[in-house]
Amino acid sequence: MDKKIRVGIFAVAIMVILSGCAQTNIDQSKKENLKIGVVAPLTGEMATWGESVRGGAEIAVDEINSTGGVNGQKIDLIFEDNFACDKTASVNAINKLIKMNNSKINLMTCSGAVLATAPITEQAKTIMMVPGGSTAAIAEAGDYVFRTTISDDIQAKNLSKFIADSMKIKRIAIIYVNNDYGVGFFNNLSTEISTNGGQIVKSEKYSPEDTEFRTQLTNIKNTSPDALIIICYGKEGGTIAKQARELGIRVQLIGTDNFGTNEVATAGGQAVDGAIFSTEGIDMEQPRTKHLIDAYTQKYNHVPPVDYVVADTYDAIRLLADAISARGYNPDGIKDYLYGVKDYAGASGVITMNSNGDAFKPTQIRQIRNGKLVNYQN
Amino acid sequence: MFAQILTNSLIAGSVYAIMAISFSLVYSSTKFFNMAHGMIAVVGGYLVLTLTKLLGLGAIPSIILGIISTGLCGVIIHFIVFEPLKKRQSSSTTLLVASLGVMIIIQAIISILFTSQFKTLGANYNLGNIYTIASATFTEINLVTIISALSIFAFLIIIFKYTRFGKIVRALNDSEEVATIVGIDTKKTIRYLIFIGSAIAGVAGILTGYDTGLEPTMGMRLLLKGIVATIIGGTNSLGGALIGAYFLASVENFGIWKLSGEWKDAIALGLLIIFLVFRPRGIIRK
Repeated sequence: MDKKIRVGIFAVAIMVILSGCAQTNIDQSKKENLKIGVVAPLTGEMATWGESVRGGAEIAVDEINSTGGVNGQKIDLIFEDNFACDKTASVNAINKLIKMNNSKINLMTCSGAVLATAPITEQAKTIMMVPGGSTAAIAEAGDYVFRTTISDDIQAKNLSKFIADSMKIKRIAIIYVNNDYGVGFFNNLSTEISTNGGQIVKSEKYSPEDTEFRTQLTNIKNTSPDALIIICYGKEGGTIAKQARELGIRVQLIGTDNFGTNEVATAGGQAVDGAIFSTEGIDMEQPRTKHLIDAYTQKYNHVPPVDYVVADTYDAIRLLADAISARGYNPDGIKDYLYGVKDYAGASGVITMNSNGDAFKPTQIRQIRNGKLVNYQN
Repeated sequence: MFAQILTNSLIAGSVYAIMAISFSLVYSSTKFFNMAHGMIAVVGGYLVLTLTKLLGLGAIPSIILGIISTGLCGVIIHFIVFEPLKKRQSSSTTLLVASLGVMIIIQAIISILFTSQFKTLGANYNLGNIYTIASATFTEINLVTIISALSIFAFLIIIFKYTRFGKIVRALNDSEEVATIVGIDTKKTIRYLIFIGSAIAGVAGILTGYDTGLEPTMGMRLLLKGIVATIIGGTNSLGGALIGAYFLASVENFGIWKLSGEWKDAIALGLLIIFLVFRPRGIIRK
């Protein structure tokens, strides 16, 4: 009995000492590594977006950490899944990152998710950087909310002007996805198309999970538009194009940035050949952009599913790293730094942050030809 | 316009019908809602994807092999998960929860093996043959889908009416206990039914793969429409499943024609609620 008690006390003592040491180790690594949280749709319907965000972030962090980190401190990415842009999951994720992981800088993906979580990051005075979330309403979402994605109202303006001036098309039909992104973009386009003298002859909505759109397209075909704009969230844009062609709709197809992805090109096949789309200024001929896309392809053994999201996320992380380098891991300091970003040469384009914390970059009109995303040619 | 909407209803309804028939078969033999049934359809699609794209087999042999393998998959899952639970007299709720688990596992495995990225079966690039009748257009796949749905239905009706196996199944449907007493091997019969039901579900997955494409998350969508169609049409009747499916598709498509695209799911589920309240045994009561 005596011996057993002594062994017991000895064991407890060892455990206490060890846990004390472990605690110190954890504290040390807290001091060493800078935390950046990343909330993205890693699984489910929008998983290819999440993959792209993850890829862009990891490549950026690998590059930064391999040269010693930011002022000697390495960056730790903490990934959280928001399950195909689910707002509740996003709220839970941001709460966990801010309160449990004590992460003062976080990336949030998906327009709807950003709008839902912006109040939380505002109240906590933590930085929220959006690498993939383009709805116009994000501009007003908060002082601590920034994005490297271009706002949809800019895209809508440029696209509408292009349609009116360069393509000289007046009668337009629009089919769009019924979520924050789709409805927002549709509203932006409605205004801009009217301003440019065009007319929306028919608009049809569909739910994000729909896979067949024949009746909506039949309604559209009936009004004989001169062009069809597809505002899609993911690959269903290609399916819509395919079904439109199958129904005999032969007019020019026009898409938004979500349309300009390898997934849509695969889903659409011949149906999307010649379709144009508006996108952020990612130019594959730029060396720094090509370098990033090559790095992604090499690391993950396939091309990025959504290349501009990879570039936006990469730029987001690098901008944040620069901000931390200049002002330390301090949200208010980083906030001031970010508002001052001007003509930053990123992989996604030349970025200037406006007073809303939105990246102002030029937009491009690109085209799908033979299954590839290329620059527009008449 | 009307002709096109009608055609769209026929096309959509045929996919629903195949799912509804397969679900009806499985449900009437096992008497619980198998949430994993939708994923069986997805498995079928991905099997054909593997056979054609990765192993390079021709379309027809791949499809036949795919359908049979899907049927086997269904039986194996039933054997591993549900038979032991049923032996222990588990409640319907337990079986339902178990089937949810199976669904999640299958979806996760497919995501890991094939990635969540969208994949298509068949000739990727070109549009394929398009036919027009009376100002209504449809593709070759659409035509195959409609013919498949009606053929499967006819095939099953013939089996259940004229073969010995069909008589056994009808006896089983009447009462499992009495069937056992009379000497019918209920376990084996149920397994055959699950095989057939799963194989048919596989057909739905394969057809969807050729028409709109495959992704791991499409199982629930397919299943839901199948279940709604079955309930509307009448759970204990194959004819009911067929009618329910085409009725559902018609209401959805004619609804979108007049209302707006976002109402599609609301219409489908609203119809379900109306039927559950006013005519719970479905269009064809039995």
